[in-house]
Amino acid sequence: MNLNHHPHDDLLMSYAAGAVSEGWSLAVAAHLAVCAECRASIQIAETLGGVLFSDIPGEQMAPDSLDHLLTKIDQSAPEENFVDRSLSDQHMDGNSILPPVLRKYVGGDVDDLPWKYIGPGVQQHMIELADPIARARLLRIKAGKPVPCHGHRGREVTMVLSGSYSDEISRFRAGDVQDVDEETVHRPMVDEEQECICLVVTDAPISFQHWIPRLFQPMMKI
Amino acid sequence: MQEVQYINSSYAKHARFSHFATAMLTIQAQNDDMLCRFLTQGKKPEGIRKVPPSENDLLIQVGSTKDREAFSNLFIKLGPRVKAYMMKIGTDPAASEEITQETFIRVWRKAEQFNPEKSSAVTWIFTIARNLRIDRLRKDNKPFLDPDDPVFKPDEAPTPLQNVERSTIVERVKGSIVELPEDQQQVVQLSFIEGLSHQEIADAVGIPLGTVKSRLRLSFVKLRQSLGDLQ
Repeated sequence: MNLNHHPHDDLLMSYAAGAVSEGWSLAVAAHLAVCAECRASIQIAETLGGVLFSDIPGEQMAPDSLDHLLTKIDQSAPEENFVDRSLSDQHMDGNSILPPVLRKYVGGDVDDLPWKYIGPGVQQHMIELADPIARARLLRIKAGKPVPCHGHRGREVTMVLSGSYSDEISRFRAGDVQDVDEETVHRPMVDEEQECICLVVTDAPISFQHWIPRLFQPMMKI
Repeated sequence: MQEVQYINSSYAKHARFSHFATAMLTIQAQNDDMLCRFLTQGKKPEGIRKVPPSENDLLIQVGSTKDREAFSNLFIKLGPRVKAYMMKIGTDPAASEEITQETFIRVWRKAEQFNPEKSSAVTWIFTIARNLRIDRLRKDNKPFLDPDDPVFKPDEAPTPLQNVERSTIVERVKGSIVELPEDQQQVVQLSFIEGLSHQEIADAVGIPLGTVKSRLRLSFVKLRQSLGDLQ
C-alpha cells in the first residue's frame, strides 16, 4: 500500500525498543500491518536494539541454570506454528475494515461492535486497554462531517481504517497515520465520498465524556 | 591443552599482547576448554579447535538440527545479557533468571523460523527477550504486538534492505551509534535498554518531552543515513 503519512520516528523507535505503552503499541501495530516502509524502519530500529543489547555487561547466571534449561526444553512441547489464515487473508480486501491486530483486540469487525452515538454523525467505540498512559477508541463518522475535537493535551495518533478525512495540513486516506502533538490545532473534516472509520489513540488524562464537535467549538481544547 | 597454548603463543606474538592479556586469554581458553569438556561429557573433542562459531552459526545449527551443544553455547554466550536486560527494569535476579530461561525456551522452539537473511541472531534473540520483558511490564496478559507475527503481516512487499547482508547492516548500525552525540546516545540507551517511555526519559534526564522526541528522531535520521547507500 502506498501511504503518505506515518508515525514519527520517535514513536517507531520506542515501539521497537518495547518502551511504548499498550495504546501506542496498538496504533503502531495497526499501521505496520499495511506499511512495508515502516516495517523496514522497525527492522532497522530492532537492529539498533540488538547492538545495544549485545553491549550490556552480563549478569552471572545461577550455577544450575543450563541444566535446568536443558531439562525444560526436553519437556517443552514443539512450537505451534499456527497462522490464522482467516485473519490474514481478508485483510483490507473489502470484506474487512479492521486490520487483524485490531480485530483481535475488539473481538470482531466494525459491524459487530456496539457503537455508541456521541454526536451528530459520530459514533464511538472505546477499546479496552490496561494502559495507564494512553486511551484508544474507534470513531465512525458520516461523510462530510467534522471529526469531533479529541483534544491535544498530549500526543494524538489517528490511523484511518476506511474512508478519508482532510484538515488544514493534508488529506488522510486508509492506512495513513496522523501523528500530532499538543501544539497542533486542526479541524479535520471527513471527505464527502464516504464515511470514515479511524483508530484514535491519545494520552489518557483527557476526559472524553463531554465531547463537543469542532464544528461548534473550533478552538476548544478538552 | 596443546592447541590452547598454540593459540596463545600465536596471538601473543601477533598482537604483542601484554602478560595480562595473555593471562586473560588463557583463562578464557581454559573456560572454553572446560565448557567443551562439559558439553561432550568429559571427552575431549578431537582435532584442532577452530574459530568459535558465531551466534548466527549456533542459532542456525539449533534451528536445523536441534543441536543441544550449539544451544548450550548460545545460552552461555547470551543468557547473562538477557538476564541483565531483564534486571534493567527492576526485576529481581531470581525472576530475571526465570524469564531468561523462558526466552531461551522460545529460542529453542522457534529456532527453525530464524532467517539469517532477514535478521541477525543477536537481534532476533533481543526481540524475543524484549517481547517477554514487555509482557512482564504490562502484567495484563496482553502480549506485545509483535510486528514479526505473521498475522500482522499480510502484505509482504519487498523492503529496501532485504538484499543486503545482515552483518553489513549490523556493522553500519554499530558505527552509527558510536558517532551519535552523547545526548542522543543517552536517550536511545534509556529507551532500548532501560525501557523508559518518552515522559520517563524526560523526567530522568531533566529535559522537556519535546527534546526527548527530537533526540530520538535525530538519532534515527543518522541511523538511516548510515544505511542510505545500501538501499
